[in-house]
Amino acid sequence: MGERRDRDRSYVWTAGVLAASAPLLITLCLTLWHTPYPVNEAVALFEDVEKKPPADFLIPDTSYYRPLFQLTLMGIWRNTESLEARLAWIKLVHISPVLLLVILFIWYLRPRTFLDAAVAAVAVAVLVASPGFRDNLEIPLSYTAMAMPIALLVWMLVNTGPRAWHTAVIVALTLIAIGFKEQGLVLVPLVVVAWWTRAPGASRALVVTLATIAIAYVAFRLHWRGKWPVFEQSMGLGFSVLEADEAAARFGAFPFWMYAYNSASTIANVLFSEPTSGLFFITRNLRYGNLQAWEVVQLGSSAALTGVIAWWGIRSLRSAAQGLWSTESRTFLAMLVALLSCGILSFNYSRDRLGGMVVVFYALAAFFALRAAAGQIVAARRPRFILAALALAILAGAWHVRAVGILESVRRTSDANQVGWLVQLAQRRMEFADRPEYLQIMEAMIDQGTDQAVPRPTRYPRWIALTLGPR
Amino acid sequence: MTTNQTLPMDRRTRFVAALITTPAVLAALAVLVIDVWRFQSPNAALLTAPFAYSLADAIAADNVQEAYTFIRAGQDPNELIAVRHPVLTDGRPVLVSPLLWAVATQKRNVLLMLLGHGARMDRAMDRSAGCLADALGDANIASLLRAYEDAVPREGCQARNASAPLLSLIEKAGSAK
Repeated sequence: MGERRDRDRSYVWTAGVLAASAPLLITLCLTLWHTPYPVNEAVALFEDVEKKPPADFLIPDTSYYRPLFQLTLMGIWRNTESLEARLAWIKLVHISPVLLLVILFIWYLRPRTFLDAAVAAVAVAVLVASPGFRDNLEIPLSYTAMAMPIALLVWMLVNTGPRAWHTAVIVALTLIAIGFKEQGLVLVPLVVVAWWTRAPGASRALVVTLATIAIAYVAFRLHWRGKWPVFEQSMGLGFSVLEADEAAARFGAFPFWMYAYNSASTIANVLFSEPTSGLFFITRNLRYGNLQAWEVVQLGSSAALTGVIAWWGIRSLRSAAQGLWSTESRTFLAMLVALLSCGILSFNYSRDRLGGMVVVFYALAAFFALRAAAGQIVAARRPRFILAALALAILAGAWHVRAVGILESVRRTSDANQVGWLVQLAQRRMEFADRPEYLQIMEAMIDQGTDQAVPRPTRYPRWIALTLGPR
Repeated sequence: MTTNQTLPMDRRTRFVAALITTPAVLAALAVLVIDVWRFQSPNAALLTAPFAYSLADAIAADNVQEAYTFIRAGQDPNELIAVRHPVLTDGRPVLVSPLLWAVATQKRNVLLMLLGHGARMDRAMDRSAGCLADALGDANIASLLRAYEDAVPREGCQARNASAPLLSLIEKAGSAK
């Protein structure tokens, strides 16, 4: 009877969190739906799937190996009649996992009390407002956006009672995630953590299977290593940006310090929202007195939340030290392992999006940590209670402001994509004159790129705009 | 009866939960209100780019999207537009092509937009647009224009009146014709 009442109440609070998150989520998805494809990324991708044979996408003779992503695009491109339908399906492939991730996240947390629900709403804001999430919203580059809900789904499966079909499903999901981007490899150490901490759904057979897949994948990629440049893309270093050839000239003889810097940058970006792509942008503005409100909000809220997570995580590991692994301690360990894995996988260059896989676990950890902090605050003496409760509310508020800022960020991208379609056509017609398929696709896509109804940033008063994000 | 009811939540817990929930509710309401407004009044000042009265104004303001709105609405990107500038035209109203006006005001993005959406260099003064960019010291725009076959090369440019470069170019192009 009590269990049923508890379950009923969980549905009510879960519905409450879904309702509170719905305006943001629906607006985000609609904005993405109406966002024009970027001329500089999308056209070349579509040209590839139109021209190349499928087998070309399976050979890892490039650092950017995303066979399943490209085969998915190809499947849509070649099996759909009209351009409008193709573009719509490709957008759907990107938006669906974003939507699924947030809904699954709320479903997994399934709050049972008012406090749980309040904290879950903050955790949703953490998930959506993290740089690793925002940077994976760039249409049509759904590589990591696809792997993020898969990571959560796998984590849910290994944390529930074992079923005969679990292993097959987890292996299939892992292969899909890796096929979309190598960031999917993060799932392998996550399952190892689950097994090591005695999660009910993580079997030894599953661990052995995934480890074999990971080793085979890495061996397959390393076999083609000779064709990779030392550095692929530009990277931030301190307060300045190095182009790839410049970095190769400076660090090519011993690139490992630079690799370590890139990895540490990705990790720090997840934890502190700084640096971005290795560039200490906010710190630079702080040093030169150009700090803006959004930078204070981002750095402050991330640092404070990371502090709370560290406090809770260490506390939860104390019980684990006695061999008593709980969902909380397991989640903390999973977050650390995902963080490290994402860092390692981004050794060549750091980008916000490369921390996407860990964002899921950072947000889960935020839920448990904030709930634990609220529990402590409630038991504190009156003056400390009031101050700490206010501090918690400010932290929650900062993350919700950041979540609203994500909408503006997506609108800015939409606006920038449209400007791209307006200003880049003339030069591209000259530059790609010898690529008729490219030009044909580009010309056919002009209407969607120059549509007058594309999402545009809200023209908030300056102080609001500067609080929500860069202008 | 009380045994079957939920125990009353501790007031402090409820207070903390309410405090944390408040920003979530406010954020949700803010998003909802703005988006309903966006749906109902898509042309509200908060939601649209600054308005321009003419293509010439949009070009001068470097407002690529607004300039394109005129082209999309049917304005010919090669049709002459009336402009006036205290320095470039010495305060006199003159008729120039949108392309030349974009070069004169050094609005690279608008120039690229015009070139991408139908602007041509058919007229003598448009073919000399690179010379105007040279006179204004904008090497970037000059090289961009000279990527087109019809553009007058640097060595083919005539000397200009430095105080009113656009006016000078129009007069020279007129006399050459």
